[in-house]
Amino acid sequence: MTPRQVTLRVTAVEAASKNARLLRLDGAMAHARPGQFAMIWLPGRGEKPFSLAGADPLEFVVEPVGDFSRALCALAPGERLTVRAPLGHGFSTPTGQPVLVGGGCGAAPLRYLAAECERLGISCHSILGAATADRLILTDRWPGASTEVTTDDGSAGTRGTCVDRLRQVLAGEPRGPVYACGPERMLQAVAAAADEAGVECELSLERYMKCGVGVCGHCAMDPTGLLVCADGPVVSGATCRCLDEFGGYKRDGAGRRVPL
Amino acid sequence: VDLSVELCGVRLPNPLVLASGVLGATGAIAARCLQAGAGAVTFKSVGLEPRTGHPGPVLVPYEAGWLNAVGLSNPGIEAFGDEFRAARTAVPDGVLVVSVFAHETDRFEELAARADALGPELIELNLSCPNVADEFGRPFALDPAATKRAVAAARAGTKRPLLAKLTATAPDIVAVGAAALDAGADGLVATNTLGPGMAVDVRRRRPVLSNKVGGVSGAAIRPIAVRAVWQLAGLGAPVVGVGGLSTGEHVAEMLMAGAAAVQVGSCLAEEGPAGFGRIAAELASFMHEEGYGAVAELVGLARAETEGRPA
Repeated sequence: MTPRQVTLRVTAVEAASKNARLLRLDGAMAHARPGQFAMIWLPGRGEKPFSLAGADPLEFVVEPVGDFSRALCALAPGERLTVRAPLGHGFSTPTGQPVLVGGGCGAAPLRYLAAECERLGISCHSILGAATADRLILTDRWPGASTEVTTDDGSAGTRGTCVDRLRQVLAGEPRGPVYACGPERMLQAVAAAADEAGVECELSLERYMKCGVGVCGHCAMDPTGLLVCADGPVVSGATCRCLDEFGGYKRDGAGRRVPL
Repeated sequence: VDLSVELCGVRLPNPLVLASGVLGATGAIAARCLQAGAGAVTFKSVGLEPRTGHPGPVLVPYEAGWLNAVGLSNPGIEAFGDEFRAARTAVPDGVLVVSVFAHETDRFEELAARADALGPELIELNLSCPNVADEFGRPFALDPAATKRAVAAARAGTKRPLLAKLTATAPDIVAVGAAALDAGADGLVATNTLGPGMAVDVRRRRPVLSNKVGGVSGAAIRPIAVRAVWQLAGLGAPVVGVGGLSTGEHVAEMLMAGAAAVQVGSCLAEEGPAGFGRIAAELASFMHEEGYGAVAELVGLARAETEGRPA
């Protein structure tokens, strides 16, 4: 059954990076899965999808990039927030020796997944990458067995991309599967790296969503008509290989194809 | 049993048509619905210009369905051509219905002509969207005269089978249907979402939908749709029944009230395109149990039982 809107209170707003904020709410969603998302409603400003960064309590990481996200980051403890959650399909229950690969603020759902690995006693390795050190989120308190960071400019961790490091990690001791979330070009490279190493991967996709529950069809991807909101946002690497538009284009609010 | 039906001269492998505004925003998902068992698919309504539609929330559930105010978002008829061709290529023998909307009567001719050029089996005129009144004014389908003008304009732009999508919110849907047929429509579709309705979030103390009001769909409107189909079937033209149906027996009910085919929408929210296969199997199973060999045998049965007396 489709979740209804619930109104919760913000209990904490913490710095997740220089600009991004970790929002904590006074509610839990014990039945949620890492990788699932919420439609967050700001009355008068609209409703947008955000991945869960934690479910008990409910947490989100928000980078202020537009009017909506800036308003979210400006919320203060005690203020109300209304969400529809959990929506979509998340990551599988982790197995083996997972490698988590997160790009910038896109790493948010992997924090939830790393915490689940920790709870299940699964040894996961996280690779968090960003252009610069100030774009990395929550690196000082990232859950899971081991964590490393990369930056394009070398301002923190290894200079280079998280995918460069993923290739090196997969070339070493046998590890997998790979779970990733971040910009689509990065996900494309992650999928290729996992494929070359013969390792399964799951990727969290993003498309313009309107309804969030698989009714409007706006987030369907070509050519299979996969609905990112209902069949995803997390899909297997094998499923992703069938999506011609993956890494190529998306649709805008009117449904026009625009390059990524 | 034979599930195929004829609608305005077009053969459909089964009577289940994807309703406009649900799923059919792209060619790929329309094709997926056909592959999942839809007898035909209606694309989301398209206009001459691109539209982003209303900001979110655009959809809110209530106990028996949904309120929606997506606001006719669409890429415009030009870019829509790519979506149409993608569906045609993916499922070459699929029955495709292009739905068009306009807020000015004279635009229907150009729209119908441009939809016609794409090569759909049927063209549907959305005369009854209940969630754009702030911009467009009252839906055409509330009024017989406005409906007649819009349908006549579209008729001038195409020779393909033309369906007029009406609303049971109209004070006299039979008069509206008669006006549409008089202006050259080949068939009628009833009903669009009703209302509009409103949902207020009591914690946030304001309407949930950004548009404040939205069309009401789902199980709650089915009895009203059945009544509308019954009334319109008396006009003698093919009627497509739509509104809250979610099982094979609901389809049979619409057919018996006089529908030549049905449209499926809200119920797909719970199960996605797979709903088509399930409902078609349920209809086949019902027909087998009751001893029907073909869908056409069901059409208008309830009318015959009561000698077609007006509702």
